[in-house]
Amino acid sequence: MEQGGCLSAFIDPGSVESHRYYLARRTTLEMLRDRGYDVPDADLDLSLQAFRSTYGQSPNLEHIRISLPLLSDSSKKILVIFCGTEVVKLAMVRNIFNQIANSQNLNRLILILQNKITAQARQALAICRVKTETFQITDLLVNIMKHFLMPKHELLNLEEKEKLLKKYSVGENQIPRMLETDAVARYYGLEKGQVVKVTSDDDVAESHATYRCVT
Amino acid sequence: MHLKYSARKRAADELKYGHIVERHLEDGDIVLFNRQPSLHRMSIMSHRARVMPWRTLRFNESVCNPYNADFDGDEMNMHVPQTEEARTEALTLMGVQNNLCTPKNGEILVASTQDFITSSFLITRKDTFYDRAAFSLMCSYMGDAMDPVDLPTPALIKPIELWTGKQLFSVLARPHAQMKVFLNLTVLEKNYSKSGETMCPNDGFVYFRNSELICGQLGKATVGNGNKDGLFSVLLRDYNVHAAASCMNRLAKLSARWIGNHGFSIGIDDVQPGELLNQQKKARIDEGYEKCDDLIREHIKGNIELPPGSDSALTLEAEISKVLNNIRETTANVCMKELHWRNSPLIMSQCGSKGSPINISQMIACVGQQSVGGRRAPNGFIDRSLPHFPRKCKTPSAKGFVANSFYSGLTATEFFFHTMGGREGLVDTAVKTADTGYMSRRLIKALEDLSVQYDYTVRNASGGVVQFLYGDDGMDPAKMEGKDGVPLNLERLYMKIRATCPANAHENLSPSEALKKVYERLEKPDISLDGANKFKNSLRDFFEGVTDSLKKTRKFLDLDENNVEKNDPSFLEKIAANVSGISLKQLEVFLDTCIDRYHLKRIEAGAPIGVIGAQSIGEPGTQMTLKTFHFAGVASMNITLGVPRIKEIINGAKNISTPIITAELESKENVTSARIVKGRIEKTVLGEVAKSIKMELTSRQASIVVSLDAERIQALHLSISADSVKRSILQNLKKLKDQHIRTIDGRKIRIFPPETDRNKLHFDLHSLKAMLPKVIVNGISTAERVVISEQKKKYKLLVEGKNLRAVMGTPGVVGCETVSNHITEVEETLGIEAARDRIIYEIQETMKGHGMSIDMRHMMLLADLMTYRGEVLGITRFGIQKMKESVLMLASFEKTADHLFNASFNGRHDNIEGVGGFWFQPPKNTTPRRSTPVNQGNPWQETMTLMSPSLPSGVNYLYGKLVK
Repeated sequence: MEQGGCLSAFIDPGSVESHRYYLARRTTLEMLRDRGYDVPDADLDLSLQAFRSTYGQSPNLEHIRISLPLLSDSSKKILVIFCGTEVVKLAMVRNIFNQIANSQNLNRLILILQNKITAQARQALAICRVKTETFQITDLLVNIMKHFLMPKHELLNLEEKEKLLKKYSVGENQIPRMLETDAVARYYGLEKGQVVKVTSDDDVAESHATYRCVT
Repeated sequence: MHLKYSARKRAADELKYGHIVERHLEDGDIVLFNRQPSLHRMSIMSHRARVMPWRTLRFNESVCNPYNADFDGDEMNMHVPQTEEARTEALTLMGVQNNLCTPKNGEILVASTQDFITSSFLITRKDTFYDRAAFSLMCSYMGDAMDPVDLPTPALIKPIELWTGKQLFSVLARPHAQMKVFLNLTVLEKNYSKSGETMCPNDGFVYFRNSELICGQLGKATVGNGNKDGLFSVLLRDYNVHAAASCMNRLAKLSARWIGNHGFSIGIDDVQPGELLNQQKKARIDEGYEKCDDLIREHIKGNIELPPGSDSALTLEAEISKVLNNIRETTANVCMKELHWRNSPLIMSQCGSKGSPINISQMIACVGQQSVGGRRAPNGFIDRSLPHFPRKCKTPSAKGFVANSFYSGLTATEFFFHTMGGREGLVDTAVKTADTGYMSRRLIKALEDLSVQYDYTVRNASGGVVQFLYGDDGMDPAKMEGKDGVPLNLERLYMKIRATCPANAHENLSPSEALKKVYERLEKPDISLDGANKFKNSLRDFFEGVTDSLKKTRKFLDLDENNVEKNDPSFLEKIAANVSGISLKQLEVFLDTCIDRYHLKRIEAGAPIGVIGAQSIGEPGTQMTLKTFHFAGVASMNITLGVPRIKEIINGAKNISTPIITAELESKENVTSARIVKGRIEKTVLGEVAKSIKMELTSRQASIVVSLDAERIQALHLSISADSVKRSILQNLKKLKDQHIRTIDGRKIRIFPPETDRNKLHFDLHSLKAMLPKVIVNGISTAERVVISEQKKKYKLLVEGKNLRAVMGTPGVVGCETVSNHITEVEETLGIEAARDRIIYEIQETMKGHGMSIDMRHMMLLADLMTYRGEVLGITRFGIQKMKESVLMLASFEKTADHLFNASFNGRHDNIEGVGGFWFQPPKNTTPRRSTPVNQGNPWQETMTLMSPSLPSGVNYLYGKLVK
């Protein structure tokens, strides 16, 4: 398509595909950092141009994988695998399992999908020894935690949680809930029974906190 | 036994121990007074009875508002509590004096109405003077000759003593010197000229200083309801209920007696237009008609300038409506200007007691455009509204513009159009009452058991926390003084302190000293409560403002900004002190008052805040008119508003009628880039971008050729090529494979039918041809329409449709600032907390659109209730079922038999704790329902077990078993 000179500035010269991968990868890295993984700053600050020059206009999915250790415990690692545009089937999941079979200190796996996942494949993931999460790439184009509507979420540790429950003399099921499938819970990879503190103003002094228990 | 018809003497003789002798109602008895529909708790209040002759109920007009009563045949009910306990409870909880303010938003609800406002307005007019006799008489009107009155010094002494009407209101506010009421307030009345404050030429700036009316003509803003800084509100907040109530009574007595003598009525001469008005009106209407004719001519020629996203006919309608509304408005203005100042309708409209300028202008000048369903009168006949007009006539008079006034009389067609508008109004009200009534019931059922506990959490009957701190600050919405639910109106309080506690001998503080004192006071432990931060910050900000203005004054007077010279007799220092100085004493009094009052404004433990919230949202629903509303800035984009919108939000609807996504752009100031992004989002089908879709039949093969319209594609800034179209066709029509589609020179696509059977080939071709134009070749399939909206040279996109996630991820859109008005969608994309925020925002916006103010805290509670289970639950029978545990509560709502049957079959348990359970099994001890038992947990808790029947043949599916 021919465009006038002034318009060409708004047209992205690179491929749409690489842009999507770039955004998804950046959001994933931010997510991992928020979860407490050791994400190098260089990776986070990577610009689109740099990403394209490193991985090309149509990046190899093997190359853009992410593998990182936890900050607090470097023996626990996470692996992020980008899947292609085809439907994810059982064979492909098996293939992935074979790849990670010998990495002992891997304890979490994230699959980033671009298409549907079959029921069998999902079942296989559920019984895997490594806890697996799946994300659609469309979920990761924008980091929802940076959305202006999003209040600040903080995970309470066990001690804080007990203290909270005691303060209000309530059981876990008597405080407001958050579903395990909630966008925020998925972002942080929260599990049942964990409690998040939600502070609904950026100015912490002004606002009051509420708590939600993941169920 | 009826005393009227029996021998009383004999009955008295036969009285025995144990008989109950009932007496008649006496003066001073406590009664409960109620008017249906009881939409909020002020619909039933307790009064002291006064027995009077005849068979009507009479009451002070000031309580018309809470009951929503008038005297056009209204019926009301009265109940007489029979025990001392009931009487006490009625008086303290339901007494009129304890319900002056509505918990909806803290505005005063019991206040002067109609004639009371009119007479206040007339008495306080400039140039009203009364001699000693008249003034004393009016002073005596105020009471029943029981209270002393101190006459003020007359305003004029020579040639005769004269008092002004304003002085009468100084007497009204503070009748005698022993009364320690120092009223301080400023109110902007409706006719305030927007500048000049006390020097307002219309006398619209009401200023009371130490109970003296300095200036201003009183009107609805001062003595009426719905204002937080009015006379009675201020009396109530600064002094007490008694001060406000007795002042209201004085005004009622004065007004009723005074206006009875003075006389106030309207007659035909009040609505006769003058010569000038008639001329002006004719000129305006002719001018407007001319404009409309021009527009119609332009429309026929087809060169009307179109705003984004609308066609010529729509634009014409919008433009004509604008012109016609303008006619009515300008004639209304002329009308108001031309009327004599003694004209009764004019007086009523000016003071706000009844009627608006539009009502007056409709009587005198021009009734204006009649609308049906937000448009001009529709065509009931072929291409015309009535057979009196030519076909396709779009002139004002053919589409429902009424140029006559009610005085001059409507023509036949005008009259008919007027009934059309009137009918719609009636139908709308009838439909809405049912809708809002059901909505109120559901809200009440969902929120009935929520109450504030001693730890300020809001919990439901089974102890589950819904909010950790009520309203995020634990304040009582009924007691809020400031705008937007702020606890205190600091400015007014500051003014009061400066007036009532003059600095005189005390030394003034320097700005920095004052600020230091404030910070010190704020550090003290008595205001370190949960949620007090907001209040503390507001105090701090306020004082920073005060000291700033002090500094400014001192700079202006060439004084040292930060150091106040002690004992400096110079007049400049005195001026500075007078203008904005503050002494230590004043500061201390101010801070202590603020903090004391703040503490009193905390919500009481045990407050049934759920029900109050439900009523506060349900009651305004009945007053909402108008179904749809235009979107600000963009023509032709309607969003649902009013009752239907509230219903959608509260129901947690999965499908809403007008989902709109507001997308911020990366380059906000560039229209072209906005158009490009619009092209990426808006759904485009092949039919829109194809020049032609033709069948080509040759002897060897049959195919369909689609040729793309390159100019159009470029004009719309779409990124569509033959290849991209091929890809979308392949995705949409699954039976076509790659080999069936061939692209030719980037503009044309040739499609071969996959059908091999020659006999069916033709049908296949036709079905393909029918399907092809509907193939989506670009954009998001759910984005029906995208409009670029411009505000102050900033562009953003309004997407009509769903799929927030896809819009957020579109290149060129700032995903983090993009929102939808669809709550369930926000929940899916951004999680439950964001959804909660949107529920609050959307309800608030809808209410604001109808000029209704409701305290945020009620909306927050509702949103919290709807989200506390982790998903957005609607206030419907399905949602409530997931919110509540109690079977009996659910059974008392809807589907009673189903719930009871299921519960008994499954052997469900019900701890009778909530209000719903009490219906079935009232608690044994008769604690007033409002209070929370002193010990946490319910002492009267009894368990009712719903047993599964041993045999399904049993009739008794439910029976209660009491377990202690």
